Amino acid sequence: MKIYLIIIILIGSLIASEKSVTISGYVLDASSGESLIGTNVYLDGLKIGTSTNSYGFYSLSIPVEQEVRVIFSYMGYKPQVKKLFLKKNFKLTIKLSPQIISTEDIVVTARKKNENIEKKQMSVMDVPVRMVKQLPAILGETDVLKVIQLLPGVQSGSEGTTGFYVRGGNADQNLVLLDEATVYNPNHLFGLLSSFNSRAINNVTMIKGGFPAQYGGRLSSILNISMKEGNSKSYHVDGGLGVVTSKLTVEGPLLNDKASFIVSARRTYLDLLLKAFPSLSNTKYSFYDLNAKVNYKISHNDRFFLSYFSGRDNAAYIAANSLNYDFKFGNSTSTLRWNHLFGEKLFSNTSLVYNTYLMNLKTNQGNFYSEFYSQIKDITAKTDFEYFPNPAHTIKFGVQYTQHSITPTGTSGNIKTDSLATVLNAAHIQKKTAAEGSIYMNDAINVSKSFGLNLGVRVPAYKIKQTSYYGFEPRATLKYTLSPVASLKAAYTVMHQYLHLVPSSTASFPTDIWLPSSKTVKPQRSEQYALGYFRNFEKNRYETSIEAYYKTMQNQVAFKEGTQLLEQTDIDQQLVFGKGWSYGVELLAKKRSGKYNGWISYTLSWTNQKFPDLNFGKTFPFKYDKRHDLSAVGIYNFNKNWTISADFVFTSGNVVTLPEGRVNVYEGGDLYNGVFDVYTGRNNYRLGNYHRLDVTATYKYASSFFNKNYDGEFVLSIYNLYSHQNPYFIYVDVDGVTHKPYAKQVSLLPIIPSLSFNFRF
Amino acid sequence: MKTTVIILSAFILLLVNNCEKNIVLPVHDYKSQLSVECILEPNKVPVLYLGKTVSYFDTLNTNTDLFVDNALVIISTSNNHDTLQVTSKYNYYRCQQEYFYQGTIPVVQGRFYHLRIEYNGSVYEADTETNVHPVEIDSISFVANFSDLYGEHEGVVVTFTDLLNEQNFYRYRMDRVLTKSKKDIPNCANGPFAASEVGRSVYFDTNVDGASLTIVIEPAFQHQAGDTARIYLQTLDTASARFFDDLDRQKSAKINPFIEPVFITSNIPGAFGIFGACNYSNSVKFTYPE
Repeated sequence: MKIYLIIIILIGSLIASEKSVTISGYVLDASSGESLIGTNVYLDGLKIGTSTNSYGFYSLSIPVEQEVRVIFSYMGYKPQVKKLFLKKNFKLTIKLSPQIISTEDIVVTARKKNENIEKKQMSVMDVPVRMVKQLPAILGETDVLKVIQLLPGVQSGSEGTTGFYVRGGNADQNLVLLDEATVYNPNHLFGLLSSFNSRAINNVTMIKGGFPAQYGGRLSSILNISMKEGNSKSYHVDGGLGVVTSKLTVEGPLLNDKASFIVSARRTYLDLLLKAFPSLSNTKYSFYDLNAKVNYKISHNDRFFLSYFSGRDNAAYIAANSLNYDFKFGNSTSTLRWNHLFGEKLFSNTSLVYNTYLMNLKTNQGNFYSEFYSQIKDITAKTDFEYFPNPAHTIKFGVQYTQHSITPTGTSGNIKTDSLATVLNAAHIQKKTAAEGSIYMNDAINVSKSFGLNLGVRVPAYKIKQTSYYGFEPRATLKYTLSPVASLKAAYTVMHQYLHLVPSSTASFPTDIWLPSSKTVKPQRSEQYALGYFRNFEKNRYETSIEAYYKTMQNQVAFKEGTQLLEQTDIDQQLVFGKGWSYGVELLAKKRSGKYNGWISYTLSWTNQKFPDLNFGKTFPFKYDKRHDLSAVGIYNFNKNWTISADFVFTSGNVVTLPEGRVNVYEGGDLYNGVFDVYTGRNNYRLGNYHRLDVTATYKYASSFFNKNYDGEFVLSIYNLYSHQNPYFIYVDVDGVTHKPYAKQVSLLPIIPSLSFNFRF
Repeated sequence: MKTTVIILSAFILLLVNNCEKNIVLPVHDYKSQLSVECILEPNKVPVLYLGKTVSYFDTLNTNTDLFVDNALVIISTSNNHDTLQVTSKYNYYRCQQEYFYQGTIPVVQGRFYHLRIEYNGSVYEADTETNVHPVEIDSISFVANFSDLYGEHEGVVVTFTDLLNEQNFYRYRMDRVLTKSKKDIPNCANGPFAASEVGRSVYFDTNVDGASLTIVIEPAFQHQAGDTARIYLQTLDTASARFFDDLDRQKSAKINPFIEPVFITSNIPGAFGIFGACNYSNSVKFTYPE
């Protein structure tokens, strides 16, 4: 460990000793004033450069007293070239104007043309928000998490849901960050929609391997979502009317270009629609989400951001002789951030985050009642620094502390009533408090024009009651550029995770409960190796990549077979522990520009688990082990008015545990003797293949309303165009009269057409 | 407008209905196993149920269908060998003849027993020790309303003192004489018949070693004031307790959609089932007050 740190510090300090001056500043959108994240800043001819960080800030060292041409470029914007001859450090904020582009020039990503080749990271995917809005929608709602599922190495969970599983990891192994706050369950409508309103999102980055050291706390992926900052130049109203929701976004300047705001809200009117159908009066559903953000520039060196998010779902179904439920869940986050510049080379961001998550599900089927309750409250303080000593290095370091307060419990049993009155007594539920902290350091190093390194180390620590855990997480990514259009990359990462979502293999509701690590529940740990080859074609219009990975996961958690939770149950004692491992190959071919663009991704993977106390101690496939996962996404821009997009998904079916045999039992007493099931393996059956085709046609136009110009669009989407009955789950039973066994398949989502209208003033 | 209403209706129906259809599962190659159940009880001759497991979708499922009548079954100690013979009795509750193997030498407390089954060229063997001690019932009473995992019900209350310094597992048993006039009793019994009602639950003495314990059991069959029964507590060895606990939890898992499926653990290599030992408490007469 010491050697690792010394190497990083030595390399950094040696190269930092070269003589130079520094230009630094922000790159902004000239029309909205929003920060342009990932803008390429480079010195013409010298082939050295950098890119803006998550706040649009850059810092670049250039030779002293020497004329240089600095080029600022961001796809979709007019590049700017600045000739500089500097004797001392210089602050330079650049405003780039959007480029008016024809359909032939349309690009689907805003990053540098061959960034996938040159960047010293692998297994990182930027999700173009502009493209998200063009892709097929379900119920008229475009959804960033649905697009995530179409990327290589990312698999969807159950039909129609926004849950995603990355490189063999469980859903809890994804850290979903919204403006640096953790969102534990980013779903609406049982997962049909995510709780992220695409109108309020600025940037989405998915990391599934080769994690930079600033990220930790989850084994499998980081989904980093930034909210828009709000237009600081003019006021805009952006809205949409869909089949089940309406949304409205308002943004504009405050305090003469010093501040801006954005407020975006979305609400379903399902509850109102259901009231119109008396036969459905037993069903109740409502959800909403609200995003709000204010940013305030105090000076060139100081800037504050305050962002807030709240999403909430309420569902209920109460009727005789049926599955009754009352389900409430929601997240809220509040983030206060302070950007500060210590001179031209050191950028800092200090954040104070408060986030909450609550899930309460009461279900009643027949005489069986079940209630799950899970609440998390986190308070986080963190400071991150970015140090730009010279173009060869970008050093990041920081510290983070989080106080978790977790209330997990559940109960299940037999009641002879249809009532869904509260059974769990919140006063009896034991709250668990845990502290999680970490320090990290990461250096992105350009060793030569061809060879780059990303070296880092993260040291997490965790304490609950008298139990403490410490970790050591080396991170390394190597990049070797073979040519301007080809590179080889390799990555190694170690991750720890102290919060666990214990999955239930039977329930079709999101009944999973978050648990903190404890003396009994050890932290999860993963080790991942990845190797990739990246190759672009036709002047970077086509990107291709192939990545292979191998990941091991220790201290995986599951319920004991047959666990029946009671209010008094110590959940830690109902758990079993094992290990998992996953390996696979991911292919991606993407067309970035032109009238027709899109991508094809394919993943071939295997994920297995082994628990001494499950499946007779034998290896079994992970619940979301899918051998093949193919996605094809296409967008065709006919003209400035019409766009058609489609996606096709084909995956192997999920696995499920079904009995293979039956046996008579005699010593159980007269009443209970009879036929029992013989299981030969956990997850021993695989559901049929899953496939569907979704299409969307968008008509855009410009018009005026009360002398006010606006842009409008009608979006017609059809989910599951050929209405394939994809298996959601299957079950077996024995007919009570004929005593013949039978199997049934339940499918959920047939063809779903939807129409929505969006406008922007 | 009409189109919109149709779309909305379709969506709302989607939320409350799902599509369910019968399917033919691709049946895996399932290798039938011998199914063995033998719980040795002191002073009783060994009784062993021998059958076969069948593929889930096999229509054969009764004792008559699945009984294995051509096996050589030997239960032995260091002193003797008891070769069990096929016999049968009529189960009035299930309205069927039930076949099993029965020995001739009563089981002795505190001995090691070895089971050997030869069938179809294969040999299946297991061992057990009859070192399970009986427990004494301290008192029996009745409660009209009681609420537990299985809901709210009446209950027979059994109080006993756990055996000190040993790990114990208990089941409850009630022997009664039933007639078909009772609710839920099949009508193949022309007259009164003896029924043995063993509780599903296995009670563990974890963390309560030597303590006075009370368990409340829901009676299985209909009763009326004045009906009498004899109540026992069965003490099980570890393997038998696990086997019956697995069965109990599997039953709960099957009928409660919120529980994981339960695999049943066998202690007979190559076969499904249990070779274990039990003992019984004193019997206590119980009269239903209502």
